[in-house]
Order: sequence, then C-alpha cells, then structure tokens
Amino acid sequence: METIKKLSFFTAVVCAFFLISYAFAQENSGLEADFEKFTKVKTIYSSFEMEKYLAIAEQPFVSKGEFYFKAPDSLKWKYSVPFQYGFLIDGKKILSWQDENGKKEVKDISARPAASAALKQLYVFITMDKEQMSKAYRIEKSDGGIILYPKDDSKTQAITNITIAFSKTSASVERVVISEKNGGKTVIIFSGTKIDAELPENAFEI
Amino acid sequence: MKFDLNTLYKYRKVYIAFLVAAFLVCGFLFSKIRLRQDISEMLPSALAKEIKLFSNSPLSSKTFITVEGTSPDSAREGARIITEFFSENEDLNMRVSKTDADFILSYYYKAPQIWNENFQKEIEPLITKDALSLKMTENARNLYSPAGIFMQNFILADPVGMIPVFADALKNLNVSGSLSVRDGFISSEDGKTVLLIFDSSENSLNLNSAAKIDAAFKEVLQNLPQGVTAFYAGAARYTVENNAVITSDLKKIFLISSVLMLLLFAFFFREKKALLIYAVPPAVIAVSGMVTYKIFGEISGITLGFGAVLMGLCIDYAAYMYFALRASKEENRFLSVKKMFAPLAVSAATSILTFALLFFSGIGIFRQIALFCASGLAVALFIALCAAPFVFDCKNTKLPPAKKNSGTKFKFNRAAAFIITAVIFAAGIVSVKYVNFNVSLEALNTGSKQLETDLQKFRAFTGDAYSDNAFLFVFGNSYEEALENNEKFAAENPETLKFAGLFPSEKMRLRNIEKWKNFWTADKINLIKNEINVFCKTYSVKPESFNAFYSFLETGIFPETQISENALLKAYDPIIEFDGKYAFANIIKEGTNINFPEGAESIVISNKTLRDKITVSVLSAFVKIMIVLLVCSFLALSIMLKDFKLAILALLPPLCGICCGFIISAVSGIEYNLFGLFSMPLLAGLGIDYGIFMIYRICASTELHPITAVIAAALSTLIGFGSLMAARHNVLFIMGFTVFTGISAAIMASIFLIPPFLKDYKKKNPVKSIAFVLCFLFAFLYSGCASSGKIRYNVQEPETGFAQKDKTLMFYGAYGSDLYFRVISVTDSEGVRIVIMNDLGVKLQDMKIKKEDGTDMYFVITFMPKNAVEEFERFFRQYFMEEEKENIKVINERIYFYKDGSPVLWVKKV
Repeated sequence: METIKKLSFFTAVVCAFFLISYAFAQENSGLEADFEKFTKVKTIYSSFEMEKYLAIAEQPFVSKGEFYFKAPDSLKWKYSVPFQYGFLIDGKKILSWQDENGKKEVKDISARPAASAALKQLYVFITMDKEQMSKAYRIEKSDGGIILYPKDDSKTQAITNITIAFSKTSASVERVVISEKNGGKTVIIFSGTKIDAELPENAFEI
Repeated sequence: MKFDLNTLYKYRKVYIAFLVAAFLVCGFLFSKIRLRQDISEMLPSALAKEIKLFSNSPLSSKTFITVEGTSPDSAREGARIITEFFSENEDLNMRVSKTDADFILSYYYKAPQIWNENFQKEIEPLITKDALSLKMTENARNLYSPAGIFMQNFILADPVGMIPVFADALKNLNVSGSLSVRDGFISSEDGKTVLLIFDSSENSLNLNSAAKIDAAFKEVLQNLPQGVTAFYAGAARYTVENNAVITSDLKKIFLISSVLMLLLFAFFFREKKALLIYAVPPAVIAVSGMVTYKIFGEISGITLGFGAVLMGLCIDYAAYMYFALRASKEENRFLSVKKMFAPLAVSAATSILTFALLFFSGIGIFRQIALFCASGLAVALFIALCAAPFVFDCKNTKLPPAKKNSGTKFKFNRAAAFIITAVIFAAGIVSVKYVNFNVSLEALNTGSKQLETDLQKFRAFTGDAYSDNAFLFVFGNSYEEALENNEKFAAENPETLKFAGLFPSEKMRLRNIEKWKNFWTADKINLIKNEINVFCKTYSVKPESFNAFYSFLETGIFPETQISENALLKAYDPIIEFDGKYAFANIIKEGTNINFPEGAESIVISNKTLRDKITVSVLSAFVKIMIVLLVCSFLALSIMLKDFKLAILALLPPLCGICCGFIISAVSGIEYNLFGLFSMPLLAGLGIDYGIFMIYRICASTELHPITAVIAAALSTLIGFGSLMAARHNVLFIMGFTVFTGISAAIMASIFLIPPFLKDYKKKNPVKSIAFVLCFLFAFLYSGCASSGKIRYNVQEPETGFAQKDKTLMFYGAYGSDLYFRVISVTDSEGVRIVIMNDLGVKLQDMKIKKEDGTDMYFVITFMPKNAVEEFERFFRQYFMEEEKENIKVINERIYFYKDGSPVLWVKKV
C-alpha cells in the first residue's frame, strides 16, 4: 500500500510537470491545440525541492532530488536529501531503490499494480492523451497556470486539487502545490529544467 | 325439475360459456404468476438442515465480482466504479467487503481483543531499542516520501510496526492462498484481476433478488473503462442463468410441442368441434398452475416445464372421448359417455396415482410436479367427461371399421417375443454398469457457456478455494454461545480452526485485553516513548501526536478514533442464524480430521458430503418409490385383470421402456442426473397404460377404443415428452429423454411383444370392480349425471297400460342372421312402447322408450343378450325419437340399423 501511495503521488507530480512544461513552452497557450505537439518532447531533466506540510509536524519535511525523462517510456525519479532513494521506470520494468549505509537495496516492483498504474498515467500525460487525462481530472485554467481537480471525489481520494504555476521568465514549471483534504499540502519547486537536452548516458542507471 | 345431463344439455351454451369463463379467469390469474427458480427446491427436504446451512453460509450469501483489466490500474478503476455503483444502489442493499486503509486500521484497533501468545512472540522483537530506532528512521523516510500524507495515520497509530503482525493473521481468511491485498482490493499477484466481495441482505437464490443483482451488474458493465471486463459469480448468477435457460426452454418446448400438436390434430381430427381438444391443454395448465401456486405459494419453472408433458397427457382423455363418441351409435350421447367413464377414470386414476407417489419423494419440486400434474389430469378428466360430451357429436361421422386385431400386420411368435424381451432386459441390466449417473448438484444447473468460462476463471483465480473446502458449523443458542462453543472446538483443533482466534467471544475478548495490558508493562511503554521522543525531536514532530497510541498500549482501547466499527466482522461474519439458533461457520480443508468436544452441537458440510448425502437420500427415495409403484401396480393389475400373467404382461412395457432408456444412455453417453432417476416412476406409471390397453384390446370389447384414438393419444404423449428433449436445461432434458425413450419403447413392446404372449388366450372381460374402487370419487360425482338416457330393467309395467295413443305401427324383421321377430309400437305423449316377439309370437322384449327419461324395460326374455337388448333400444330410440338417424339406412324398404359400419338388424313396416 505504501508503494502505491508513493507512486500515485509521484505520478501526479510528474504528470503535472509534463503538462505544464509543454503548455508554457508554446506561444499559443491554448491547451487543446497543443496536446498533439506535446508528444514531440524527447527528453526532460529537472531538479526539485519538495516541502511537505503535515498536521503532526511543527516544521515541513523538506526533501530534494532530480528526475530524468526520455521518450517514450524511461523515467528516473531520484531523492538525494535527506534520504537517498527513488524509482526507475524503463519500459514495462519498474524498480525502486534506497541507499542504506552505502548499500543500495533494489527491488523489482514491476508486478505491483501501483507501478503499472504509474506507468500508464505517465504515458497518458506524456502523450497528452486528453481523453485519458480527462477521466481522472477536470482541468481548469488559472492565473499563471492551471488547476487539476480529481474527478474521483470519494472518501479515499486524498487530493483536493493540484495547482501548477508557470515560470514568468522561461518555458518551464515553477511550482506545484498539491492540496490535501486533511489540510496538509505538498509544495514542489522545480529548477534548472531542460527540455530536449542530451541526457547523461547513466541517467537511467541505478 | 329433475336434474340430469340431458336437461343440462338443453342449456349447453350457457354451461359451456360458464366453463370457458371459469377457465379464462384461471388463465388470467395464471398469467400473473411469477416463476420462482430456486435450486434448493430440487434438493431433498430430509437434508433441509444441511442445505439451509450450506445455502446460508457466509460465503454462499456473497456475490463475487471479478474485474479484469489490461493493467492493474485499469482493473482497480473498474473495481472502484463497480463498488461505488453497488454501494450507492440502495435498492440492492449490497455491501462491499473492502480491505482498504480504514479496514486495516479498524482491525488493528481491535487487536487487543484477539491478543494471544503467538502475537506476543512476534511483537516482542519489535520493541527492542535497535528495532525501534530502525523503525523510527523508516517512519521518517515515509513521512518525507510523497506518500507521507497517507502514511502519517499509520505512523501515529502504529509507530512500532505491529500492523503487519496482526495483518498476517488475516491470511487465515484467505483459504486459497492465491490472493493478495493491494490498495484496498483483493487482487491477483499481477494486479490485473481484482476480486470484489459483496454481501446482500436478501437471499440471492431468490429469482427476484438475483434478477435485481443481474440487472444492476449489466448496467454497471456499460460504465467500465475500455479494456476492463467483469463477471460475477455466486448464487445469484446460478439462479439467473438457470432461469434464463428455463425461460428459453419453456418457449422452445411450448413452440415445438404446440406445432407438433397442431399437426397431430390436423392429421387425426380436422373437425371444427375438435377444437375443444386444442383448448384442453391451456385450460388444464391454467387451472393446475393456479392450484399448485395456491397450495405451495410459488411455482417453479421446472414445474411449468412439465406443462408440456401435461399437454401431452391431458388431451388423451378428450381425444378418447372424441373418438368414442364418433364411434358410438348411441342415440343418447351420455350413454356413450357412461361407457367411457370407467376406462377413462381408470387410466386417469393410475396416472394420477403415479404422480401422487412423487408427492412423497421428499424433494420439493417433485411435490410441485406431483400436484401440478395430478390436478391437471383431474381437470383433463373433468373436461373429457363433463365438457366434451356437450360439444362432440355422435352423428354424421364415418369411421374406419374397427379391427379386432392388435393393429399391426407384423407379428412375432411367442418364442421370438420371449427372446426379444430377455435380450432387452439383459442389455438393460448390463447397460446400467455403463450409464453415467451424475447425481451432483452441479448436474442440475444449466447455464450459458459464458458462465462456464467465467466459473473456470473464477476457480483458477481463487484456487478453487470454495469448492475444495468444507464448513464446520458449531451451534449455540445465542450469538455469544456459538462463539464460545466454537472456541471449545478451536481449543481441541488449534491447527485447523484458526477463525476462532479472529472472532472471539465476549469472555475471550475481555481475557485477551487483560493479557494485552499485562504484556505492555511500564518499562516497555517507556522504552517506546523514549525512542518516539527522539524521533519527534529530530524531525520536529509534535510528541503529543502519539498520546492516543500510548493510551492504546495501556488500556487496549484506542481513543478518539473515527473508526469504531469492526470492519472484519463486516467483511466476514462467521455466525449465521439458523432456525432460532446460531452457527459459527468455520472453513476447513475437505477431509480434515476434527476432534469433537462434548457439549456442543456441530456438523461438517461440504459440497462432497452434501452431494453424498443427497445421493443416498435420492437413491433411497427412488428405490422406495419404484418398489411401491411396481408392487401396487402389480397388485392392482392382478385384481383388475384377475390374472397374474396378465398383470406381469401389463408391467412388461414400462420395464422394457426403462431398460431401453439405460441402453440408449449407455450407448450415446447421455448422462443421468437426479431427475432422470425420478422420471422413471413416471415412465413406469404411464407405460403401464399401454400394457393395460393392449390387454383390454385383445381380451375385451374394443368398440369404443378405436386404434386411431390410441395412436393419437400415444403420439400426443410422445410429443409432450419429446419436446422436453429440445431443452438445454439438464433437468428438463433428462426428464424428456427418459420418458420419451421409455414410452416409445413401451408402446413398441405393447404392440409387438404383448400380443404373442396372449396368443390363444381365452378372451374374458377384465373386471371393472377395481376400476370403480379406484374411481370411487369420480363415480360418486358422476353417478347423478350419468342417469340420463339409461335403461332401467325389471320396471313394473304400469297398470294403466298404454297412455294416450297417438300412433300404432307394426314391423317385422331380423336381428343378425337368424333371429326373426315382429314388433308392435305404440306412440303416446311420453314416448314409444315397443313390444318385440319372435315369429312364433313369443314375447322377447317389452319396453317404454321415454322422450326425456331413458327407457323402462318391462320384460326381457331370459336368453336375450344384454347388448342385443340395448341395440334394439338404441335402434327404436333413434328411429322414433331422433331427427338425425345416422345409424339407420333404408334400403329396398328395409330399415337397417348399423353399428361400427355393419348392419345389426333390419325391420320392415307392415
């Protein structure tokens, strides 16, 4: 269950990032017209800082990391501070790892439902499959970005909405805020985003 | 006014209209009946307890929905849509058993109540300083991760990591071991298949409830995402599928049998008034359906399927009456009816008695069929005796002359007949060894191919967990007592009955909480507090967030939680209520040895044991019925026929029929189920009729039993049963197969095997005494009606002599070829006085044929045969009283009276 929750959240963040990166990159800000062009993105690199505000904590939990994406289906999401762990999606193969006292513990989680769920959602957002995306979220424009509202409003749905703000100076995402029903929130700030840049050869190695 | 049938005949239009109206009312009410298709009806009532327990077991009441997706998330999405749909549909009142985060937390909060030494051993290693330190680091990592939002509730409730230990005990519920729980759903290892388990407050064996579930499921299928499929299993699916097959079969059976019946009627009847025969089946089915529904409060589709059989049987009587009236030369139609009463009543009585025997079978549906068919036959007999004579005519009909032979030119000699009979019996006995008897409950179910495919998938998915296991029911007078008694069993069988630990009694719960509190000493709690405080300080977590957890350890009760219900009990309540008692349902492996403690009632039931018990029960009932039927039939036939040999011969056709059924089944591989066995008494009872008919035909008068009538009746019976063979439903098919093959063979045996054994047999009239015993009730009802048109013998000649004379005539003539006679007739206002003398002037007969009240016979000479007396009476009645003289022809001034196409007597007016 833990893995599922992680991947769901992680997928939402990544999807939001892709969505906004491409949306802002286009001079024509109309999302409808740009869905098709989005599929032309080959690679993405970005650093992130994640702040988690929980009711039980007096201060936010802050973590940092980076991610790599390469079309059609390679992705590495890597935390470096305060713990070193992450996920690697390579085709249908999905791995998770964590560094413990210099030892890397790797698990194949391909057979886990959540892993494949993440892959499919990721694919949907990368290809800007509006039909599939619209099944999960209602998309609205907002000042300087968009807001995604989950269509599943059941008791088990933890997310209220996802607010995405675009950079005013470059074609990239500046900030993602995931608001939760219990009052908590997660803020992700992206920096150093590169679209279609050449990625390191070991970008998708653990 | 004195009531008789002739009087009623005057008002026949009103009478027939009344009958038609009555049948129409029954037909209307019958159309409002909703069929019930409950498989439990097909099972022996002697096993009611086991069947009721089994059908109400916690698993049986569940509906299993299997969702398959191209990926785990699509499967889960489909599962979510279905869950929401069913949960929001209040009409269905179905509850889904979810194993989500709330379920796990709810179960964990009740953990002190199930606390035991095994948990203690597992938990102790978790509360060392090192283990706690590692766990706190893991908690921190979880809080930093994206899933931290979701994990914080678990971390606050269980910072030590005890939940996996308690969750492990839930594996005892996963009897197959092939399932896992992911994201709150029970799913396959690859996640592409999700199993949803729903509880329904209604019994889904009931067609109405099952139909609702089925309709809802079909509706939700439309809402599933592309690539996601789903199917459901459980009692509701069986019920709906069975009903669909039976409904389809009923249409098919009624269509086929109706078409064939129409052809039959078109070939044999072709007369406007014979349309009454067309009306008999629906009238009979409407009335018998209503009677059955009123008595049982419901009617099964299987019972109604027997309507086709009833159609075949019930027109027999009307057809016999039709042909009898056509063959009859009586001027008064009711005299012919009177003659037909005994054979029709005997035939109906034997068939009704045969069906009545099924009433004692101990299987609910057989009792329905027994009442349905018995009442239907009674109605059919009523129509034949009390309605048909008011419609059918005795006149203007030319029938082929009756033959006194057996009706076939091909004849075996006695030796050949004996050899053939011996071969059939020997082959039948040998065939029994090769016949495939499948007495399982599954053999009674018939569903679509899709159902079979779905069930195969379901079994593969669940590891066939629910077929290979058994239930151990432990009883108690109250819910708590059942739990306590089950704990006694669990103490004796700790490795087998693991459910008991998850569902403790109140006493056990209190004891376990005490043990929990004893386990969590102050030292242990302080150690945990210290580690948590370090964690809080390191990661700026509020220390008071864990106060509820500390209280939980100290008291065994988790304070201030929104989750108060016992989700485990909601998901699986092992206690079922049964006849005011309670039973704890343990799932155990089939064949497990159980130690039974004293003082607690229990029973082990599985598919296999239930199947075995049903088999024994059904076979026992079958053997009893067959023995009673054959013995009773033999005794009755022996009395009726006054001859043991004839009685044995009468039993020959049904026995040949049963043997031939076995032979064909062995050769063709057709499988016999429970209903195939129970069709055999039917076959025996019906097949005897043909033997009796043939014996009557050879040994007694046949004037009112033309072979045409028998052929038409036999064909109608065969059509009735044969049409059942078009059914897909195993029950309907096997009944059709058994009786069709059996009756066909019985007819052949009657025609070809009985006559050789009766060759040179001295003809004698089988007594009718038994007929009147069997038909006492009918005779009583009919006695008043049959008085019209009768001949009263030895009536005192009135002293007043002749009444007002209108006309006097004289005749001479001859009866047969050698009895010459003279006749004086005097007509007056009441009728005609007839005095018959021989050519020497000796008085032979003196009678008064009355217009409205039969005939008074004042004198009959001693040697005069009764049939001759009656033929004289019939001739003069027709000659003087009736406008249409159908049996009288005038040739060369001679007035001929014909019977069966041959002249009986002639007279010439002087």
